[in-house]
Amino acid sequence: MSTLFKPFRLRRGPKRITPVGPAERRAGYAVLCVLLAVLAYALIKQSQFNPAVVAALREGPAGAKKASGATASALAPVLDALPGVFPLSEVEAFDPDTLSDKIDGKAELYLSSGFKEMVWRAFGPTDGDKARFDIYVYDMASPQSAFAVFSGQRRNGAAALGLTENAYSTGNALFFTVGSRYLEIVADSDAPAVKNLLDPLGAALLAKLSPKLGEQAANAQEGEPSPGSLFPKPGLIEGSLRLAMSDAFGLEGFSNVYTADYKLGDAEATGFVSILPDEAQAQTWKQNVLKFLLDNGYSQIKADDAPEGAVVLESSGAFEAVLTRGRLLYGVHEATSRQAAVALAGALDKQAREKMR
Amino acid sequence: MSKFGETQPRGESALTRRDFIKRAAGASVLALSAGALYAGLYDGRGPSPGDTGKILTGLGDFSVPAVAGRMAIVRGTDRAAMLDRAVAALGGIESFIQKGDRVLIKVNAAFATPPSLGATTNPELFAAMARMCLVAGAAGVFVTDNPINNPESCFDLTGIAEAAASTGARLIIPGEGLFSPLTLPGGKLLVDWPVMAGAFKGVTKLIAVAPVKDHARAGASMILKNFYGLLGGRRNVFHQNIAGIITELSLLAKPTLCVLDGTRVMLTNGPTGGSLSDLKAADTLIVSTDPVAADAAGLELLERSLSDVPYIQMADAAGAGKADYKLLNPVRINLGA
Repeated sequence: MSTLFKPFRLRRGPKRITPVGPAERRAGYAVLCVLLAVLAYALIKQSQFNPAVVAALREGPAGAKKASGATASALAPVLDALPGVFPLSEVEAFDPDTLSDKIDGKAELYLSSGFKEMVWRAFGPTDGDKARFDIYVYDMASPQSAFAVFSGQRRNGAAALGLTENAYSTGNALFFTVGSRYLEIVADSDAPAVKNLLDPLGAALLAKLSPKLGEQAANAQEGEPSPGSLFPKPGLIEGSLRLAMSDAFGLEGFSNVYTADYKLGDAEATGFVSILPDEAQAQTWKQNVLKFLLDNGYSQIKADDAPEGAVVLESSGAFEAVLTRGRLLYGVHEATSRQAAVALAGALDKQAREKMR
Repeated sequence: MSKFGETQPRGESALTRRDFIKRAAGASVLALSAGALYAGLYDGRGPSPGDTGKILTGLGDFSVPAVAGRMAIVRGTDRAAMLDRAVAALGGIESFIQKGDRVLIKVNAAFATPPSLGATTNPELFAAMARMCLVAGAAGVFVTDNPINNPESCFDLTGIAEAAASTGARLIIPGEGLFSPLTLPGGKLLVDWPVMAGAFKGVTKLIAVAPVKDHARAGASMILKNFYGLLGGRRNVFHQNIAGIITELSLLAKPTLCVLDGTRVMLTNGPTGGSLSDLKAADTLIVSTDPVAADAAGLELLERSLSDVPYIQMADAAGAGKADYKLLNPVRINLGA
């Protein structure tokens, strides 16, 4: 034993030693109680959320508040000169702290998908028409992040464009991804003269933002099937492929899940696919998904006609199927009939066998 | 090791009464010092967002008891005509606005986007409401919102500034001096938070005019969510508990009248929208004295249920109004397309 912990020794002569009495014991307990009370007080106060304090801590000292939209950005030159339009405003840039100043509650969609920065600028047509174009360029963490926000907002029935792999237009707007950037060109009307400017604007922005060949190669993972190719074509609703970067189906931590919608006869269903780092994680997430479904009122049902290893569940007329192959976790979400769930699970399984050889 | 309180064996290492008292006193002093230090350093009020030195507890009750619990739902496409009929059905504008009233109209001007995109209060509807108040004898009509990013440009592009100028309503641009700290009694989120109390100075009536919209975080943005625009500061901290903050906002002020515009509804990609395809013609205007009931009725236009938008029932439970809007026996009027 070190001298530091050497037992207490008397320094001067013998002292009268008596057992610890009731008063001393009470005093001891009182000290402990005081200590516990201090601890409890500190913990309670610490746990009480004071938004004003949180906001102040984020902002830093008074006067250090970052001006919304005033951030300098390397992306700003992208919105310098564009064909057929002239700037109506300065370029404004928004980071994760200020994005909601510009797009309010929609910011969470971007923030949960790997948002880095957004630049915006308004333009008017040079031909004198009274029209307005708002162009938003979102810089996301990866091409997958850009696809997640693109697909999460895709308008049903919108016309796909050949501009890039992920591009579509509506009456007054054009939306596309290029590399890790997601772009929106929004006009204030669907007048023909206005619509005619959307495509040239999209092409000009694409030319400015197209990733270099080396960058493209770095983004492509060798030997990895594209997520879209894992979904069978029969019954697939065009343009319904989406990516949930986080918390897919409301299951916390269930990330990077691709989904696509199907119309199978009279029934509807959503297929899902997630490529995990390894087989063990695919199995773990299969169990997590099953537990989540069971916790939310689903019950496993017998389905001998489902693919081998598939677990089929049902709740109030909604059917789910979950299975794995190697590091692939896939299945069916919210099928409106048992037949549709089993058929889509079978088709997904067949596709997985072919693509994941 | 012996347990605390056990008798020590006699001998050199045993504890004496004097030593025990010394140690106990030392521990007590330490504990009390730590507690005193914590209490001394603890700032229970948090940083003050304003310099008024006064913490508000609400923005006021602007309701008119004689016409409480009323609602009209009008079908049509002409917003001004629909508003006219709805207000007449609720007892006429004189039931709400008296001579000399100073009326604040809280619009949704959260984004610098044109009215065609439907993300903000329609300027024609706002103008019709402002005119109606002035005709009823209001001494002044004021309009405001607090879009964080570039308020002037938001009021300009949404058409609200022009509509205000054309009707004689006065635009209140949110400046730092208008904000004062507010702590809602019993509130967990609205604690020392800056709200635009300055815009309420001298105000005797409050009217909310908002569009029906999808909202990515809250599920829906209508009358209650519109009050979010009264908050200052880095209010995005509330996005993690959006239902909670909207519930507290429902208790912040009792409006005189709520005008919920479902003429064109933003069904998807709210609250910003962007594509005209996000909008759907629902041809409905809801006017009510009860903001919770107005939102509950607006949900039907969004094709959603109360379970999709939890804050409406939470506001009902908090006493801000009725989530079962049919209890108000709404007057239904069809002006045709």
